[in-house]
Amino acid sequence: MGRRTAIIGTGQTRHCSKREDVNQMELVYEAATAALKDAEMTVKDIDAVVLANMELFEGRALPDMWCGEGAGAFMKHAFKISTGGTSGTSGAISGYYHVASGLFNTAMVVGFEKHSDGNTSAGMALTDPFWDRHIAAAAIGNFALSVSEYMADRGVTEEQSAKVAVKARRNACNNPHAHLQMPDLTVKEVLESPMLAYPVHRLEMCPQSDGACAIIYAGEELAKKKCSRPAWVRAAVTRHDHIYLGEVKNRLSTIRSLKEAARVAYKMVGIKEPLKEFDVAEIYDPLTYAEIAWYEALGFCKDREGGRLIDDGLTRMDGELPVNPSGGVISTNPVGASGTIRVAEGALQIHGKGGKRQVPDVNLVLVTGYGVYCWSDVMILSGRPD
Amino acid sequence: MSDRFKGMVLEGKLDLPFSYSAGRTASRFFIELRDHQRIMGKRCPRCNRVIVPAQLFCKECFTKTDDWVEVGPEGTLITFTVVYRKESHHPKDAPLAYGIIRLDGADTSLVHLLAETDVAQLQPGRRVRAVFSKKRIGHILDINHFEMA
Amino acid sequence: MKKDNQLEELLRIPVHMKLHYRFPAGTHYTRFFREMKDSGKIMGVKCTQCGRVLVPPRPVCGECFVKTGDWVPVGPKGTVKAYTSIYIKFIDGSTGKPRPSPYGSGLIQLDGAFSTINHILEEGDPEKLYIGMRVEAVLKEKREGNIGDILFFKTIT
Repeated sequence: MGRRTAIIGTGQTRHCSKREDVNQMELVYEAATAALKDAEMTVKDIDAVVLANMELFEGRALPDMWCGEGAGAFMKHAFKISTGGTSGTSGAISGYYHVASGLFNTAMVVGFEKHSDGNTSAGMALTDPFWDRHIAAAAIGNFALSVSEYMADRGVTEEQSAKVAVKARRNACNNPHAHLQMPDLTVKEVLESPMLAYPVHRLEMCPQSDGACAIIYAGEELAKKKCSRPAWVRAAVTRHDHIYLGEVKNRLSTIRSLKEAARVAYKMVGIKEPLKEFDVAEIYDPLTYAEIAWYEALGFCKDREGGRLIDDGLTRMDGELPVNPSGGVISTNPVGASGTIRVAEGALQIHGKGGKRQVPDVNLVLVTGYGVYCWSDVMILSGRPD
Repeated sequence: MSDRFKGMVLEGKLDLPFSYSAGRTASRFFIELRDHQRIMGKRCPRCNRVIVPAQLFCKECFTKTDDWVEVGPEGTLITFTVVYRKESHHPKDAPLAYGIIRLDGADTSLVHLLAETDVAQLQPGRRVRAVFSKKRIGHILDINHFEMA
Repeated sequence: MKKDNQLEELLRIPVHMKLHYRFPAGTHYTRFFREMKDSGKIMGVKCTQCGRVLVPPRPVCGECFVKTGDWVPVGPKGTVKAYTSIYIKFIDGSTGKPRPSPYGSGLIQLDGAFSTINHILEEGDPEKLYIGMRVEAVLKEKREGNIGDILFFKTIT
């Protein structure tokens, strides 16, 4: 581990399907200024900037150009991180490295996506030209393939999947930034929503959102000075698996990258019973079935018991381990920001600034990111530095 | 082997639709061009620069701009180039001249097309004037080009 | 002049982006596509360390990080390991237009291969698709040397 580093501020835009009142740069600016305000800092206090975004979705070359202008890195040290769905968490981990290394005292990470400027499915079609481009039907089609494998392997039911959607959209009602807020959603409505790709219904899938999210890191001394309850980074791990879906057996059940990242992160912090020890989890759930699969991979329960966890309500706001009080990716998905939002929402719970979505007495938070076909990031945040 | 190897090549086309939202500030900039043939900048309250095209915030001060200021339509040519090679993505046939223009009243410059393509006529410091398109749709090409003033 | 927040009209700038690409296939993909084009055979390549037969044939095994070795024929019969029916109007990046839907799609493990390939299934009805169903590659008569030379996988019993 490097030096002690904490998140001392977070900021998010209003996330929705079309933010026509701002362009890409202005969206980034909105999140960056919100985080600066939250941390009671000015742009002068930021030493380094990391921008996270999915390339090609917006049809702009070099989205890293918004580093300098939108994210406040004018004449400063700046990078862009682009690793698919994990961009937002990989960006957050990169920001952490900047400060933990001791080379920078503060760093700001801004994840963003402006889906409405482009076409996600077309962007996703820019996959391997030899094997995938003319065959695959982007994220939804590929997830649907994995869901059929996962259901057969682990016996998860449609109803259990729909319950995840209901939980997510109801939690989202407590989050003023969330895109899809549906207080009265029912399992029946989820399963009667249009079929996108069998067996995945529209309401089981994440939306496409415009949005940005920023977090600010500081080294120990400044963190303690600026923030009454800093969110200390206790572990940050990334793992990559194959890129071609055909080389990964049972993507959702095996999810080697997430299991391995979690194993390493849990060891760093000494986690043995994640369901009991974590107070909140903000996990990257691109669709309902993935959330159940991640419960199993993250050791919240044994294999084949993920469905029971949702049946028993253990991951609801009033359950043993509230998962995604924010509403998760299923409720809000500006892809490049989705991972950063998980980290920000995790930090927010420790800062005690969760408002209506605040879980009481949060000390230990699990955050994950998921990207491309099988990449995973895991972070553990805590109210205590060690 | 590598230089003698004759492999297969996969050729193809990408055809992708995009639609970029201009945002509130740029929308107003374009609407002013379209409806009033006015070029507008915005002033940064901190460094006092008039930024053109109008921007929501000053990128150097990281502060929201406030007052709208009309600039031009005349200005000074800062620099220019003439492109003699035709490419399908160019807005006009070759020779294509464009330049960096400091509009009167502005503190930043605009990049735009020049009608004059004779290098002998195009000198830094020459005065130029915006010529608006007859059919304007709310787009940067609502300024058709700049002509010598 | 109006204040910013009184402005109702927000503009969008539409751009249809058309790009040409050219990807050299390299040694292994070239051999794969040539074999398929010329003799209708589907070939995999075996890792000398872990023994996995990889389709697509990778010059390097991603897990062992060693050069792969022998070429082995796989399929044309195989087993469906995962399936879906695509209902979304998915925009094909090569045409800019949605593909006709619904259609069946699956991960197919060709006999003799370790990995599966993602391809179109003849059967598009999710009620009739199942994991473990047997399928066979249907090749084009006039083949061009790309993955589209496999038209789809037909159901066999």
